[in-house]
Amino acid sequence: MSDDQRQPNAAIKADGWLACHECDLLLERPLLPEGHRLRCPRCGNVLVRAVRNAVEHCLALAIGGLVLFVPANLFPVLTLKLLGQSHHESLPHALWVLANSGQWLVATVVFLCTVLVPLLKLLLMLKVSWCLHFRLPVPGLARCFRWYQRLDSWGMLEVYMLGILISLVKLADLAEVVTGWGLYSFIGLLMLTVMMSACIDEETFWEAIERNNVRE
Amino acid sequence: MSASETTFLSARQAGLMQCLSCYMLMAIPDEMAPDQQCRCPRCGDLVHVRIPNSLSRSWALVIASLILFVPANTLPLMTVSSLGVGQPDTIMSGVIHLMHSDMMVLGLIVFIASILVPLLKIVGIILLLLSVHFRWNSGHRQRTALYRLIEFVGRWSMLDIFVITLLVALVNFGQIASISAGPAAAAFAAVVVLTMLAAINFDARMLWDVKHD
Repeated sequence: MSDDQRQPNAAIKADGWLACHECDLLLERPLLPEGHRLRCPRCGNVLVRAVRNAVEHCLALAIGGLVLFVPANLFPVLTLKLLGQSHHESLPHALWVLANSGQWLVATVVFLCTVLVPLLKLLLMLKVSWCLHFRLPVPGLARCFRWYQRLDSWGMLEVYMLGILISLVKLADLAEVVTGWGLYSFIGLLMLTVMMSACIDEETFWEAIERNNVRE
Repeated sequence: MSASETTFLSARQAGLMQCLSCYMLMAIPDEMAPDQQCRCPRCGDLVHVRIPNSLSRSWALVIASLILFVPANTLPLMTVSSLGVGQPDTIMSGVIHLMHSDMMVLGLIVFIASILVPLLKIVGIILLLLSVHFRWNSGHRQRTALYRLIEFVGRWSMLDIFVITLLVALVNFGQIASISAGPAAAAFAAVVVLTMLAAINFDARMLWDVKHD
């Protein structure tokens, strides 16, 4: 890059601009109508997604998700019946069995990805969207939302769901498998979290958090 | 390079850098060295022009996952015992069992999900790292798409681990039938976590930087 190229551009005010986070292309910030998304013209990355009432949607979904989180983790997901014996299984129990058989490392990873991270994501989202919706100037919202973004890829409920389905198929011809209330609540929880990630409009959230901080 | 491509300007060329958490654009401070970072005024996260030491971090993580890929595939993943007789299975022997017992499709799915995808993911990251090292100036779009694919697929490799967790807890009928997890499970989980971290630490903008230098 030559110096004469830098000079005129250094005067650009960062406000009206937007950069692609995957290829660093500088773009003029367009006014995006609700329900539309902006893709990087060069690499195709989705840059901005305008969602209507994103904060309110996320608040409702976080509350619903937390309600379903309890039965999804307490009630048995599957029950296996073989020769008169039956084994209930809820997720904490499965992790307990795994950890006791010496596989504590695997049990920890599974616990993080299917219990702790999804729970933290719901709690963080509840706090952020609650405070933004009711305009409560609570400090630390930015940190909460940052952690939400960071944890996002480590919550693996949908992968776990596929794991349940595969175990179901594998065990179906071995013994009688009965699905339980844990599974139904889990499916509900999964649907709500998927909807929540579809509703998150990071741009709107960050702007709202910024405004919220200014009011403090 | 076509005329329209030459007009593309990167944020770094314009003297701007972007916070990767809240996507705020700000001017690069004059005194800032390329590998330094400062705090984002909006969200408080660390901001840098490019992720510091992105290449060496990704290399370290991907090499570690390549090493762990060996025990993950050679050690037994799980042991199915029925009537007191145990049968330790590695991933590959499990696939062969499935194929021998006329479950070609299921065997193929397990082969793709548990062996092919993790291997291709590691190879893909190495390819991206090499392309940055040797400053390839073509196929930027395709390589970005590859990066996106690796990032998306990463979490799905955890599937096997979840299935094992469920099977170990469910099939627990003492002498009649039981399943226990083998040492490969921990190695496999580590491979998945390490490749995910390698992808997160890789700064995809480096693929395009060669266009702007």
